[in-house]
Amino acid sequence: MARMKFLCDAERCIECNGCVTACKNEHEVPWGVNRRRVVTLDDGVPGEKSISVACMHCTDAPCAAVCPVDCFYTTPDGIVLHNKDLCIGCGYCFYACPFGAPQYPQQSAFGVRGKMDKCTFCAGGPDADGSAEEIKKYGRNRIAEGKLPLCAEMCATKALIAGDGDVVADIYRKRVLKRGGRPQTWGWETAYKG
Amino acid sequence: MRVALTTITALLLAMGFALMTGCTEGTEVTMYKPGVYKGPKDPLVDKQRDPKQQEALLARFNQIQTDR
Repeated sequence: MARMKFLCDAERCIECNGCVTACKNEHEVPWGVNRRRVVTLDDGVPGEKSISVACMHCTDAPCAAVCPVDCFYTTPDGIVLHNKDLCIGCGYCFYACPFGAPQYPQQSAFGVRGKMDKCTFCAGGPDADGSAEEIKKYGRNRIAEGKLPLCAEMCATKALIAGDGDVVADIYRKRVLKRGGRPQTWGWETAYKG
Repeated sequence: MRVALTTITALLLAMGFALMTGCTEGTEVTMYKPGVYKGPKDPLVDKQRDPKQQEALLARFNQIQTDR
């Protein structure tokens, strides 16, 4: 059984934001919500590094641990998904997540939170695969269609890789051996320890 | 006069009932257990256990995301 993981190769990311745009377009993400973002460290300084960040689908997901209504579940492939019908928009998962993945669309005045929204690894939600309801709430279910996350598939420099963790790690290991330097699997220590 | 009063009373009662219908709420209570997901099952969960689906995803990965 595969264990789905994201890996962003900071040496390759050119901060084009193609992954962000692809995600927003594919899932018609609401205004003000970005399921994926590109973070640049030391911006403008020689040697700056950019990393594409979204939900890492953690092994022991802190969002699921703190959810008071247990709206999270993990698929056999290790993808962490949630049910928007159960979510009460409390915001606990936002505080628990080390990657800042959960976000809330502003639905009315006075800062009232809507249902939490986050990266689904393009695997939709608990509604019927490919149904209008699923697309409306969670976006497209590419995994059910035999496809992988569009952000990674659209990445021009192949900086962002999404797939079985073993295969992803093997590709990254070969890259590091070829170009030299130290491996920097950003976020993996936090997300997939244990 | 009496008929008009009865009609007005009936109308007021009907309006009162109509307004009150918005004041009811469901009595079903979901008892949560820590860490237990109690929502509907995702059809994708069974699909992911199918080896054919796994093969399809691996083939897709090799087709698009591997280094050239």
